[in-house]
Amino acid sequence: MSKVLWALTLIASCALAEIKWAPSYDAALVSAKQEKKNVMVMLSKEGCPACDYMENVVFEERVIEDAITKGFIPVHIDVHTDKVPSGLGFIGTPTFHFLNASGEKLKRHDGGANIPTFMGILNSVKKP
Amino acid sequence: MRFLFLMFFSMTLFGVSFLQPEEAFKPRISQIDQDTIGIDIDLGEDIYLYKNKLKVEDANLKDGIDFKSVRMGQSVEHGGEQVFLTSPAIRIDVIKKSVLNGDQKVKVNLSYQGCSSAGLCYEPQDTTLEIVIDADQLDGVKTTEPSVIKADAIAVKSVKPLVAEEKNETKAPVITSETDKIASVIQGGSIWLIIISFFGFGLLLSLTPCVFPMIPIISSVILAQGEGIGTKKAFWLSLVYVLSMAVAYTIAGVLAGLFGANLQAAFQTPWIITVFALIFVVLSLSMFDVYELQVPNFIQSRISRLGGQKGGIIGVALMGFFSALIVGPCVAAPLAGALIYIGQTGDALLGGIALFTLSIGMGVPLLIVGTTSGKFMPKPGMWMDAVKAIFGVMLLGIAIWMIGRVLDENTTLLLWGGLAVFVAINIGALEALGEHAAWSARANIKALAFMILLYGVSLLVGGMAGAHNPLHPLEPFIQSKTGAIASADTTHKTFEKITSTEELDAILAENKGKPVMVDFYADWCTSCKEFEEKTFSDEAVKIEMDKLVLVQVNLTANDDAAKAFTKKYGIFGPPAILFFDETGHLQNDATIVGFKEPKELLNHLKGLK
Repeated sequence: MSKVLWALTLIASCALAEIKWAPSYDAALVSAKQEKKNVMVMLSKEGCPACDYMENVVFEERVIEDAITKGFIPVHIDVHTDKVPSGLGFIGTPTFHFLNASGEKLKRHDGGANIPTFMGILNSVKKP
Repeated sequence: MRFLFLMFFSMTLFGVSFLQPEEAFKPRISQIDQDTIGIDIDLGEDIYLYKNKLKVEDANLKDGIDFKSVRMGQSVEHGGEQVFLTSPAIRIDVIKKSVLNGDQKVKVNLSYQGCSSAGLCYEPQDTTLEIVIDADQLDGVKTTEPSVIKADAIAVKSVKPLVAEEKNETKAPVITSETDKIASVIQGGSIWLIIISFFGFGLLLSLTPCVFPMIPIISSVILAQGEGIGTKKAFWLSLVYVLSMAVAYTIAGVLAGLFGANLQAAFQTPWIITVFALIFVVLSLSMFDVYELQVPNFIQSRISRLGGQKGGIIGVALMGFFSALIVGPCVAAPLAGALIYIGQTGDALLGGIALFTLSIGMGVPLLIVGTTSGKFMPKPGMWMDAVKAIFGVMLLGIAIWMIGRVLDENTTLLLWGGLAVFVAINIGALEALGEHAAWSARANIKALAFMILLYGVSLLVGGMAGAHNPLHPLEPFIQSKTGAIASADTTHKTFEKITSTEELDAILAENKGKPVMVDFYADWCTSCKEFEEKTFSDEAVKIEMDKLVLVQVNLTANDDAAKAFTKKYGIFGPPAILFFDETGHLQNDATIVGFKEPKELLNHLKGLK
């Protein structure tokens, strides 16, 4: 019985990580400062299969969820309906910008990526 | 570990670099014949254009030259949209609307939007192209054709400028505070499970044979530190001791969480998981008295001296804090296990809470004994060794659970079976009852042990026959029985596993006349495993899949061969399923990206042409 409980505990804790997107870029910066994390901006738009892939497959992966939850305040910006913060360039979507809590750019990645590649991108961003 | 990060990092260096929009789309205008203008958009590698986003417009409606008709090349279906994989070959027939002579300038507004199948969708592009044509050669027929012709009947959304306008909306920043976070964890419910289980473990730990006899001794030492011994004061002093001990454990939990946070990715790799599972096995051996794991004696005695120097409440607090560091042989292994587990979650908050409740659990007997001055105390005895053994079994259980993420279900099932048999035999499943009376505790335990033994044996037997569901270990036998009656129809096709596009081409060539299903898989992709375990193993899906040639592409290596698939078929990564028709042509509109439940896939398969 206790064995089962242990397993349950372990499984339950996995469910703790689910990507919580910040409501806005400004809010993300504020949270990043508070939680001593970096900000991950995802620029996307409607009708972009690669964006959908990131959302439906890559961000659903536990390793990725964990890495984002642990190190970043993620925020979503639709390049056609939201205001794109100045300085965040893109030639298309998805484009990822990684910034520290003061808004300094740390890294940019253009386009979608599969799970190991995106994990590599997350890991290569300098920790706050 | 560093090697791992390097490996991850180097992968990004091999990552795809995308063409700039001006390299991806190269529009050019030319004269095809005397009254036809051609517009071609040369597409870079992997680039495609959306047909419904392609728009051609007469930039100057008053120049006397109008567009009579606009034609374009054949589009193809791609991910549910009509797209051009090569230049759309736009052909505009022009006519003269007023009297014009000699060379005339024609301006065309062109807008288009496209994506790279390697995973980037470009912003809408607008451009104006110019060409000079000889008006003398044009037909002068009057026409009422509209001068704006869309590439498709579908209404084209107005194209937004690339630079977003400065909006003066100021959104109030919504702050997600730390308390919100804690609240959401608590709402999730799982935190209570963790608190309760760690509290329980703490309680159990204090009932192990090398901790329990210490309790009266510790409590008398605590009470000696505070001179007057009223029940109330005794309770407070014991509480101070327990809480200080809890502080030490909480710090350990938080540290484990913080340390683990940086190693999240590493914890997911098979060899790290294997190493940790082995550590748990080694730790469990300590619980079965194979060896003694504890802090060296000279450190223990130094710490106890430190704690014992001061009197009164502070002395008790110090004793509590330092005694947490004097970890006895029964506590060391489970504690190490708990810390490794916390490290795995990488959650400092969770770690703190878990270890705090663990130490409070450990402190409860101390509180009771301390407060009642030893009047209330369970009798130590053999049962305490059983408690210790429970921890040993739990550690082994965790080891199996961990290695289960690396091994296949069947092997894991066999391991569980083995553990169950060991447990059953050790608690006396096959020992003679001897003079123990009917309904004695011994007899009841034997009955329980016998059930565990039966379950363990069925896991082993079922496992050897290929079972993978621990709740139905004997499934293989039931299936083979009904299978025998219903003839050999229950054997299903299996995936042919490949890793290169060349292999796929060969299979497609071999199987002309048969539809082919190509599944993209990788070890690092959880939803792929879900596909295997839930969807592909569904009986109804299997029957439907038997009608197809089944191929599985393994993209685990994420190397050039794997990336060649991404390029060739415009899939971003696994999971994805492609379907080829009898002639070996890819059915673009049938492509599946992401996980599908058995029912969804079944409907999809039935809907195939």
